[in-house]
Amino acid sequence: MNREEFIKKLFEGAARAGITECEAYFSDGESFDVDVLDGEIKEYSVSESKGVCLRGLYAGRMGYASTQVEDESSVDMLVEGVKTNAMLLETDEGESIFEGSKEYPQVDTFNESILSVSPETKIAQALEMEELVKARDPRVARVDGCEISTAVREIRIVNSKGMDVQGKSSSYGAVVAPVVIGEDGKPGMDYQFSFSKDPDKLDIAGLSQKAVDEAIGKLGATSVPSGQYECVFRRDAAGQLLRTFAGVFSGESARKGMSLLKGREGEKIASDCVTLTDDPLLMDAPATGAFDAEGVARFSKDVIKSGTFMTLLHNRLTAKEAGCATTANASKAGYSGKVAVAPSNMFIRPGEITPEKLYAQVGDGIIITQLQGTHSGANPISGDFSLAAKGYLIEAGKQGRPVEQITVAGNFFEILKSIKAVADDLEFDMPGSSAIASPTIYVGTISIAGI
Amino acid sequence: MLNKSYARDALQRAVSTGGDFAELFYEDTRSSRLSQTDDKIDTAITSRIHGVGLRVYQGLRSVYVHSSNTDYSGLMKLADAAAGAIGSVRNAASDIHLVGSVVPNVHRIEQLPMDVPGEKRAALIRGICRAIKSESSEIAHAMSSLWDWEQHVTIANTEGMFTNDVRVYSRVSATAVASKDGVNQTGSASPGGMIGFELYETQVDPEAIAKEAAQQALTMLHADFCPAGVMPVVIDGGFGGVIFHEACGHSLEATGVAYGNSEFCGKLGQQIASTKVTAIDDGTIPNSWGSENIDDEGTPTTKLVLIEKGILKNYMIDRFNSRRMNMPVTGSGRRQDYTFAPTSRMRNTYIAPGDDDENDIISSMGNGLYAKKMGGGSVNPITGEFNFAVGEGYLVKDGKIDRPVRGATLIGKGGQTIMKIDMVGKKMWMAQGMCGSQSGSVPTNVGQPMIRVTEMTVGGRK
Repeated sequence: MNREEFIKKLFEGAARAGITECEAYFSDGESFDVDVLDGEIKEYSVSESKGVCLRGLYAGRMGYASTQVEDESSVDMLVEGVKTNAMLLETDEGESIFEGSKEYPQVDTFNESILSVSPETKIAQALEMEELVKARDPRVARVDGCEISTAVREIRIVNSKGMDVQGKSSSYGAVVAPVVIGEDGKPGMDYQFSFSKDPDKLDIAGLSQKAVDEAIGKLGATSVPSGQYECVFRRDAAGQLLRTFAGVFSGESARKGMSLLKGREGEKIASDCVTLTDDPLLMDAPATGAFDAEGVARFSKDVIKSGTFMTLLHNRLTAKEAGCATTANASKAGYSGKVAVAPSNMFIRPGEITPEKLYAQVGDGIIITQLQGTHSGANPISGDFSLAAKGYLIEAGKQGRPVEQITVAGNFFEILKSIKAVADDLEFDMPGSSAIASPTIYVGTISIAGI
Repeated sequence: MLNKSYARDALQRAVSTGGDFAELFYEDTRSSRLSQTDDKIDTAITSRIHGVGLRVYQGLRSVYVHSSNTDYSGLMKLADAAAGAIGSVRNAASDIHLVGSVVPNVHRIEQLPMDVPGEKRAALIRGICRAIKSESSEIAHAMSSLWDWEQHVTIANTEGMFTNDVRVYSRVSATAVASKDGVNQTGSASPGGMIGFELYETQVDPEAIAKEAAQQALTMLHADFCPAGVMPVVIDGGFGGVIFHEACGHSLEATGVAYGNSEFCGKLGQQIASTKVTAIDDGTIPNSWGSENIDDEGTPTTKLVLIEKGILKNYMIDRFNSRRMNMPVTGSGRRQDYTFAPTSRMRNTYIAPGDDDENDIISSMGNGLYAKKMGGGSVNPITGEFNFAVGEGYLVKDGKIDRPVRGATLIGKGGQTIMKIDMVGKKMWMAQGMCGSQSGSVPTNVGQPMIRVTEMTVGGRK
């Protein structure tokens, strides 16, 4: 059965079953991945994936069902699933299917040339990257992952209200994880990745160099005495921290009473140097796209503007309940998930000084470069965290010796208020449908546990 | 179900360009999730995952392809893609003869979750939310989810294997949020098993898990921040086993060991832990969350002694890494679903009961931290560095439990920490988790009796 026929049958079946409004969300993808080790291909994978989720209103409630098979039997399974699930729901929030935006922004998320790069070229790039890593420093022992991967993804949302939107994106990227051995025989490692929609933007030489230099830089790291330290979160760790607590900006968390920011629009919640923006139209950023998971045309907005809290992120339902307009931040965790809320490309706007100048401002303190266990050592509601970390000392205004086996503890909301300076080094690196990043930030005094 | 002759044709074609082994993993999974927040059921989702993954080896090279198209032409397309990646010259491969085998099922299922009426399922989580709320007026939110899935797999390979298995999982969660003066604290409990809906009638008392979640949140709401520093730490049984899972378990998986990426490489037969420690990874426990009849490579699961009285006995080894290591497989090849190539993973992993009295363990510790309930954590297997959160912790003063503390994190290096375990209690139990690694997220049990570590770095805000 071709897709148009499937959609027709699905909508007919839904209408017959008494589903008053419905929407099908299709996700199709193709990906390629090659990982090399010691000059040979270690793993090679090619995949094709598809999935469809039907959601629909039955007796005023929105049921969901999904499958990876598009055939006659799936029509029944999806329609029945939507109906049965809707009947179990007790929420009575007046959910509805969207009729479509009048206009959609133009975004450039797909580079056709990705399709013409041969597997041989990608394999050669992975092999070259391994060579570059090994050649960079004699202390490199091996790689624990040296991958080139490409992906093409298509989303189509079509509904009974006449909306039919689709978007296509490409991603071409590399991941490299060198393992280095120090003079004391102890291992160290680092991993770096880089993704872009354009194949020719990939800089494997730069990436290899960065990964090796980071791994070498951390060799010989030791702990520090427990105490209060002047603290900088380098851009990678600052991004991790922001990702960990991104849920506090969600209108959905707020609606469930699980965000301390509920109803605090207009309040000063961060220091003046903090502007937090959610921009789904940013050029060549990972989460760029013209419409959200409900098909609403996306746009850029400030969540925090010069320290003042401007808005929560909303989908149509959470906006309706909060009495405002959607911010077009409807999201879905995979094709099968319920429509929820998530940032697109969300980032703290960069300042004007380099990280080095920022270290000079600090004088003596600590740079956190990596947080560990963010899924468990942080309370996403209260903002409290206590996390294992790595980094470097700042000695007399300069980056000093590497530090490990420490934990850093604090509160996200307090940190927002205490940020003293924001550097100029914003960079998106992680791929994903929700991309969160930050420049390096100086957060003031923080509690560190070590020895 | 996968047609046997289709499977044979696909496998034959997959090894036609020089591959020396091929394996098909066919999957059809139906899952459902029902959730309630406060007084309303707000999520009801059913889904079906359907597809096939094909793996081909040539020596130490592995090619993995997968697709949701499982008809004959889809299988042939996959086989061609895999064969093309292995080599370009087609040879006439020798005939493959698939022999169907029936795997004995040791995990008896009484009530398939799919057959349980929606209303009965809804009543269960409704009761849990009600029970959480009734614990205290300081409980601001109650949440409960019911999650189950039924996975049908067929595994076939060029060595003649053609076998099926059905895995049925049930799990429920209770989450409580206690709130006071703008401070929120969370508590949770989420038992599950490779079992049907009877779990909630025979093994799990919904009221008890509601109470457990609520009490944890309430205790932590009234707790002070944990002081930071190096101190002796007692970790209670059950989910406390996450320390072993993170600190050592991951480093004993072939995924790291085969490439020299583990601090325990080349240490078989050597003492890697204190003599108090015997650790086991057992995939055979009936109806247990991390069990299976066969692993995702078709190998029967095993009970594997990892460490015996401190001596390293075994690694967990999957098929691909067994080639690199020249060691036999241990029935540990697992994957989240057909979109992942399998690799070595933990199953039900625990520290075996010891002979120390639980009361003595605390009363002889002096000043330190008693971690009654652990949160999650993670590890870097190359360096052994781990971290995990303490969900419910208490300061111990002169061998007596003094007061609750929140926000504590335990960090360390696996190899050093397991050497410092000086006492192991008598009563062992397990708790459920989802473990994420290279082959996705899989159900695993962690477990241990109460243990004591002579010193650990505790992170906190004070």
